[in-house]
Amino acid sequence: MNNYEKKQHMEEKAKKMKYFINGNCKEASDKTTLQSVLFDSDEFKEGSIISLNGIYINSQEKYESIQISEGDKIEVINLLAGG
Amino acid sequence: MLTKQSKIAIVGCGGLGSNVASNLVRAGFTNLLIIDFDVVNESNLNRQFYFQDQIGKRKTDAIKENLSRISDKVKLQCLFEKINEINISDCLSDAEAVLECVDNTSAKSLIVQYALNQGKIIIAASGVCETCVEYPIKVEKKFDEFYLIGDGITDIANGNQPFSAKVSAVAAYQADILLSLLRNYDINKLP
Repeated sequence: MNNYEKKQHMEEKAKKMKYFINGNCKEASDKTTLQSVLFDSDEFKEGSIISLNGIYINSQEKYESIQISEGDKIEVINLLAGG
Repeated sequence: MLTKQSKIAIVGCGGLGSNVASNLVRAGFTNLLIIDFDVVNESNLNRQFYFQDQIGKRKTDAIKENLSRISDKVKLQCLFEKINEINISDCLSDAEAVLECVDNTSAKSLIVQYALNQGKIIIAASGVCETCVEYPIKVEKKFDEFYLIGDGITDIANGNQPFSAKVSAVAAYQADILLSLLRNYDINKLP
């Protein structure tokens, strides 16, 4: 790999994108999955209801297969006990 | 299309469920499915639509008595069941709308996610304790047909107390959302 290619490679690695989780802006590297974002968040736990850009994501299998894009809005809803 | 004859499932018949059932019957809904596995306890009487002489009775039996006294035109199907992953589909498959009125978080999540997967109207509650003044109730349309009512803060698991006024208010909002949908109110206008 020549210097130009090395520089390109490093720039690609360093590429970050912004996304939002419960209204808070976060950064992640390119090709980050929804699962990775959720596992990194403080909000996500068993029973959390997840939406991405207003669309309900109904299974853990889908979390693994969805890649986050710039500007994506993730909502993690945790229902509170009482009723 | 939602009508007053549509089958409305009320899962949980405690503080929320007993009061929302009362509101729906008074509003003219005539086809209710009520699901609960508990009996009336003295400690329930501070916020649930039951009476002293019903202590020890199954809530499904007690609520049937009480609602029948409001209107004899209501078709009430009561199931003495605890909702779980195995029976939820059998219990709720023919309901057009589901009102989540249970008290524990895992059941709440199960009910909401089932309804979302089935494309049903789901009106859930989260944060029903203390007072409305201290912890105001929010009414939100989340996505699809998922409506969430409650303060989003108070939690029985953290020691917050459920008082009648607040619980009744949340239950009233649950019924109110359903009535608004019936009247074709544009819920996207909610602040």
